[in-house]
Amino acid sequence: MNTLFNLQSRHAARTLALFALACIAAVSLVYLGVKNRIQAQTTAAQLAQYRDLVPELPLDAELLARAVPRQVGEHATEYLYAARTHFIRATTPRGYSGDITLLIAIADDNRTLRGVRVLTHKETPGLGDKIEARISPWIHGFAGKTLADTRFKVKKDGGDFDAFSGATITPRAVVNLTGEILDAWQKASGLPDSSSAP
Amino acid sequence: MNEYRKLAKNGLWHNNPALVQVLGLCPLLAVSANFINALGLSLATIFVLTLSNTLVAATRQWIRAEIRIPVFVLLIASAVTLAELVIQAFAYPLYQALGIYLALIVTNCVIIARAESYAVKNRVAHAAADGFLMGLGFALVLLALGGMRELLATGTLFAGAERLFGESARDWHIRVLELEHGMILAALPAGAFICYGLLIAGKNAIDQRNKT
Repeated sequence: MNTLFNLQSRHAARTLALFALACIAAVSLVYLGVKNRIQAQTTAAQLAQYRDLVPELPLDAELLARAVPRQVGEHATEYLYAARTHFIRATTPRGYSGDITLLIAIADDNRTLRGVRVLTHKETPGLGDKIEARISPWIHGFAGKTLADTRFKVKKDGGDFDAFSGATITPRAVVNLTGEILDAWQKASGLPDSSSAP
Repeated sequence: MNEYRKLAKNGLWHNNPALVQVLGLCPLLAVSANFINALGLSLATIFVLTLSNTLVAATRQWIRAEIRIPVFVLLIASAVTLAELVIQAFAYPLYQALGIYLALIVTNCVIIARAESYAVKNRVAHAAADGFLMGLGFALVLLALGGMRELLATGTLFAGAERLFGESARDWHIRVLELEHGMILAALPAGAFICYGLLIAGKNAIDQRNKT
């Protein structure tokens, strides 16, 4: 017991604490220095996703700030209308490792998908991350689809979308959320229910 | 001058962290699927290794033996976090491409191995050189693997260069082989191990020949 609080141990503990403080201070300083730049980069990357879906979208850094909260069906989303497209940012908790946030672009006719992109996710690298556009072209398969011609489920659940070998939960979450949003949107805009699902 | 030459020969060849010490295989094999990703991780690793060796050597008089491991971990984690912040702020596409493997540099055993076996017992200048040269040795293997695997799997080289060098670098993409179907195995972890084994065998063969 008397080795625990003797002078040597106290010195060692104090040195360790000082090292920790110095490291935290240094990292915090750098963080505060680059924080704004990082925010600008993240916003630019998000904007790039919007323009990936709708290339005619004007380059406007303030665009994302104009999104407003909107209830679409059971989902609390962020909504933006630009370049004659409805942009809906929605999140599902049913990813394999947590929340997946999607950007869903619906055309002016309120029924045709212009496309979907994944904004944030925590899925497994090499397995679930294939929902990202830069890793796999899978997500491009949503473009141009409507409820009338597509069943928004993975094939395993009786739908029209492929899953990934070794990862079903991730694509299922993405496909289901897209289908739910599209369905709720179409209903809310008063279009006749033309879903092909029984 | 002699010490630097010794560090160079060891770091780059005789004690190469990837081919001889066989350390840091997780990032080595996971991020070497193409040349540009390998280059990105190489630069980050060299930066972290040099920085952490410098920090350890600069503070070595205060690093008591009984707390040295936690202190190494603190310094290395800080160096990696700094690298992450800088890359996120100045090369965001690269940050996205490296993903989780940037943070995983912390687990690269080369870094704590050099801190423990060299940096804590030597002058700052020598420790920094050791960090840089060991990082360079690791990077050379990473780049060789990246080039090999990209060539075999997709027949290209420097695909994705715009992540590191900006939009104008998109034309750096060279199509070396016209492949209908690349050797997919080269893009997968098993293929990475095989290519890595071939590199080690190659180095040993060269050493053998030089001995005789």
